[in-house]
Amino acid sequence: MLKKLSHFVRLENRAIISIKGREVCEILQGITTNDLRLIQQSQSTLFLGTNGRIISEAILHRPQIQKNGSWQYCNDEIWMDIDRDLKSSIINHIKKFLIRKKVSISDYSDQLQIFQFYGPNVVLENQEGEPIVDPENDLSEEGDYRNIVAVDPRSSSLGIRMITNDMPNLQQNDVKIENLDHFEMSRLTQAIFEGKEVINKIPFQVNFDFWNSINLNKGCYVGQELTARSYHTGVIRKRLLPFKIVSNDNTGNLQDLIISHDSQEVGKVVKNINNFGIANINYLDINLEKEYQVGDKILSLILQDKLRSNLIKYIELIQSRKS
Amino acid sequence: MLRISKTLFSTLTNFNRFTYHTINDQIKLTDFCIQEIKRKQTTKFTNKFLRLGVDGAQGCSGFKYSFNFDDQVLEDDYVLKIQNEIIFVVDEITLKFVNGCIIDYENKMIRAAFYVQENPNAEKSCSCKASFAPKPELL
Repeated sequence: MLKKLSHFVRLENRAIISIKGREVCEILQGITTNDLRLIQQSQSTLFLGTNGRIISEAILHRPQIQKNGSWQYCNDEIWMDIDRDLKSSIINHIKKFLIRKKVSISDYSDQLQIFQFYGPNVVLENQEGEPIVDPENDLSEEGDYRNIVAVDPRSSSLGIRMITNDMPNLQQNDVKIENLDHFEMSRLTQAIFEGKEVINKIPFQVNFDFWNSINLNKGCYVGQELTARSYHTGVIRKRLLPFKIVSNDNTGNLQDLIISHDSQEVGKVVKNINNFGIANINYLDINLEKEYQVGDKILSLILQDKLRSNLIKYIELIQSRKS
Repeated sequence: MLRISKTLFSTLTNFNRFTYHTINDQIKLTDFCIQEIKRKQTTKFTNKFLRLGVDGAQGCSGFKYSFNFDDQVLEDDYVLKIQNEIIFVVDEITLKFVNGCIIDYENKMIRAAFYVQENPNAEKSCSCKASFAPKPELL
């Protein structure tokens, strides 16, 4: 399984925070967008404010402990996989809701590290969020936590996420160790956003409905009103999507430039690095495959398989509601 | 021979064993609300009082009111008495969130329930009247 993925990176921009206590699952269920009862090994979710805007995204993992020779999932502990720079703001947000609960929050950002195995054109048969047993790195003693190895819950095209306390043994795998920028580029070209990129945005604007992060059948949680309403009756006005400039030369700064087709405004550039960037696209009326103008350049959207199929499905949904 | 009834004894001890505080003007109950509590005390909830609680990580705005009929008064409780009988109780933590509120009873077709009429400490409240978001200073 891991052998199919050709790249490996240590995600130094992420950190693990542990929340432990009898009522942990109940608390998180009331303040996140995804249904924690459905978690297997890992689950992507969002913490929203009462105004329905994102406080932070997180990947929740259920740790396992070795007991009497077998692995058991902990019922009272969840590990949150979050952006390192947002650690304190997330912890402060969660603490607001703990008025009577006995819960302990521990910062494991120095003890635990997060790694990703990924590659171009990854096609994994396992479901997102499902655990993967990696016999090479599964040694343990009684009371140890198990290394967490799971298909990235956001999309299987991101590969496999691993949490452990040391560099894993890679001898059997034919992987290339990359730096963080390489993985970030791979992630951004799929329109999967993290950390500060999503703060204060509406979840749909940054595509979290595509990446298994929002459960629309769940009961009350903070920010649910706007989220449910936006999906069922509202219109998503814009989405953040990746683009490339069709050009052989280097491109300057395109920030805030209008993207248009003929004379119709189609979107606005958020930022770019050379010939790659991300833009807010008001995509409802556009043909995704076309080429557009920005400044004096030509632009086309990068639409990898999962992103394309999700977008097409959503556009069809909107159009069927109009008729 | 006089027999000291067990129920009489337990009622007395529940009310008098702990030292609790009194609600002065921090929370007000409407007349309709008091009437309804008394009515419930004569029918279903004898020797009990209305307790208002606030809990976190619940409801669409993050915090939720809960109304229950209870018979245990604890040390950090704040108590409202009418004619020397306890009819309404909140604990210390809850009082922080409901200080200055008016409690009422709503008897409509859609719902018959106790509710918090207006909470000056809330930044946002839900249309269901059960969930609210406290002002950031309180957290």
